[in-house]
Amino acid sequence: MTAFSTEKFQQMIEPGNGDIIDHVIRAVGLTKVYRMGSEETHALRGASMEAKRGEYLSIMGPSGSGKSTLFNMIGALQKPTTGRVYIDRVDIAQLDTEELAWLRCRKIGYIFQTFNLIQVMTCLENVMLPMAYAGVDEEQARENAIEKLQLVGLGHRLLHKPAELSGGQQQRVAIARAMANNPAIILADEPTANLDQKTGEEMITLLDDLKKKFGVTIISATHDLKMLQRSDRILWIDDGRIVRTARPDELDFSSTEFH
Amino acid sequence: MAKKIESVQLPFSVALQIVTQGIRVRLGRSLVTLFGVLLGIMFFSSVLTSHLIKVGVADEDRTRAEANRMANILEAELGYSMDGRVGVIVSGELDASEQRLPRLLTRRGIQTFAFDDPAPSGVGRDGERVDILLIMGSESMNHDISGLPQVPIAVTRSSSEDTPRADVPMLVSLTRELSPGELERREAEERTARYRLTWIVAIALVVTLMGITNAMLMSVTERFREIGTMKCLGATRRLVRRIFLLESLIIGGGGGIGGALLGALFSIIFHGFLYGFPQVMFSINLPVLMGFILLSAVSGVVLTVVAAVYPAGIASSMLPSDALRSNV
Ligand SMILES: Nc1ncnc2c1ncn2[C@@H]1O[C@H](COP(=O)(O)OP(=O)(O)O)[C@@H](O)[C@H]1O
Ligand SMILES: [Mg+2]
Repeated sequence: MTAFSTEKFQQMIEPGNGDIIDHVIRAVGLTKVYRMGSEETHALRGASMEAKRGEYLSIMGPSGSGKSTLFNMIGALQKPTTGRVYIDRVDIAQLDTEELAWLRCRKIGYIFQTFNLIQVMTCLENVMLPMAYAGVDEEQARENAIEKLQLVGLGHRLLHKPAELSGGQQQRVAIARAMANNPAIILADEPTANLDQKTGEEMITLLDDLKKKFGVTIISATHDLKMLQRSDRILWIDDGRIVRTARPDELDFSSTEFH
Repeated sequence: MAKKIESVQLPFSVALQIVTQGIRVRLGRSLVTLFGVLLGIMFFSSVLTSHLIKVGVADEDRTRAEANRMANILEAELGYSMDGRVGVIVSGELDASEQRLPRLLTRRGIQTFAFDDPAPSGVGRDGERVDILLIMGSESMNHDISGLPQVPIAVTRSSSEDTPRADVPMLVSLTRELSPGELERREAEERTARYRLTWIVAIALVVTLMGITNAMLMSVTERFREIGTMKCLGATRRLVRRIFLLESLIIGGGGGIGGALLGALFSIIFHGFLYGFPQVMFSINLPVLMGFILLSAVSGVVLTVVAAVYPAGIASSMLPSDALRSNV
């Protein structure tokens, strides 16, 4: 249908040199103001970040600092008040709704704190859904979904409804669903916040495996110390600004800062 | 390296598959919604059918009374003789009471027979005796009575202004003359009945509309989060709308057709117990009943689709993050 004409596509490519070519996501000067009546909340005040292909990036920050808002912006789930987001060098502000849907369907997999599984559907149906949206035929989708569920260790729970599963199992289904169309990017908003310590750790291991196995880029907002140790890079966000960037080996996890 | 972005164009069958799967997985919920639509349309359909039956029964009563009145006059004219014989001439279209009349006379022991060809001898075909000639139908007062036997002639549609005819021994008018006051009253009655019908239909429609809107709004708004999730997983606005359109078509179709038929059936059964089944069956105007059932079913589908597609359209146009946040 609306395949991009070369000309339109060229205009959308971010200007720049070869340095940025390996940034699968780049956000520049994001601000977000929520208006509720006369009240204004500045959730983001000029946040910029980028993620390299295959990187495991953690976004750390206190509650209300703007992590979810940033997650929504770079995941094309919400529009920034100002600033730009480039995914694979395409400025997503210029995409129409169909193209955005394509992006959400094939390029990005989302994982939420509250899992957001469709309660009335079985695990298998949940994982098949993004493939149905991508136009994969049912048989093929079923096969792929079973494979993805086996990958997250739920090959024996295909026909269960989310309510019949533990929190950790539900999040595994969500991860399988995020991987359904083999996206280049996985975005996770505090994926372990609703899980106990041990289950959270399993989830982190699983994401790490996916990163190594498929080379997906993982960006995760988190409070979780374990998550920080596994990541390639950590961004700190506070009051809508990125205040610090570090690699885990530069940090001293025994310091009081992390307790 | 940047890949071409092609937006997904899902075939209709995929949407249909998603919808049928959706209805199947939430069968209980879908049935509740369908039942809401069904109840609303049942109400609407039964109101229309009840009106039809009441009008039919009233018409039937009037027809019967009118036929009885005409029969009484003829009976008196024949002098209550035990073997009165009436020759019947039909001229033009018969109305309902005229159609009843011969049968009614027969039931009262008065013999009737068709008197089609004028016989000057005072007898009908086959030399039968005739005591009185009955001319019925819309053209009865214009019927040529020259050459008819010299017996009293009763005409169903003559009026008092018609000049008495010297060549006829006796002209009996069976027409009931309505006084101007009576005419006016009857017109006023008809007007009131029309207003009442409009009013009842309007109320029924509003009640139905509220019921259906409520059922569909509930079923869509409780799925806002789900719509948000669907959009995160790559459902296009068009797909979301199409899914809800199809779903509401199925629910509206089922609830509409089922409700229209059940409503009519219930109304017929109810009035059957009230007036007796033969009376009700006899007074129902079948084509109009079909029309009412069709109208109810179509209203069900249209109301359901509108009530579902409007909120679904809003939800489908929301940003995924807003749809996910909404907690209705
Ligand atoms: N839809 C919204 N409407 C109004 N205010 C919002 C909305 N979303 C977030 N906020 C506000 O923006 C700020 C950042 O929120 P959020 O991004 O959710 O932070 P975090 O995920 O780090 O806890 C908070 O003050 C929050 O109350
Ligand atoms: Mg948050």
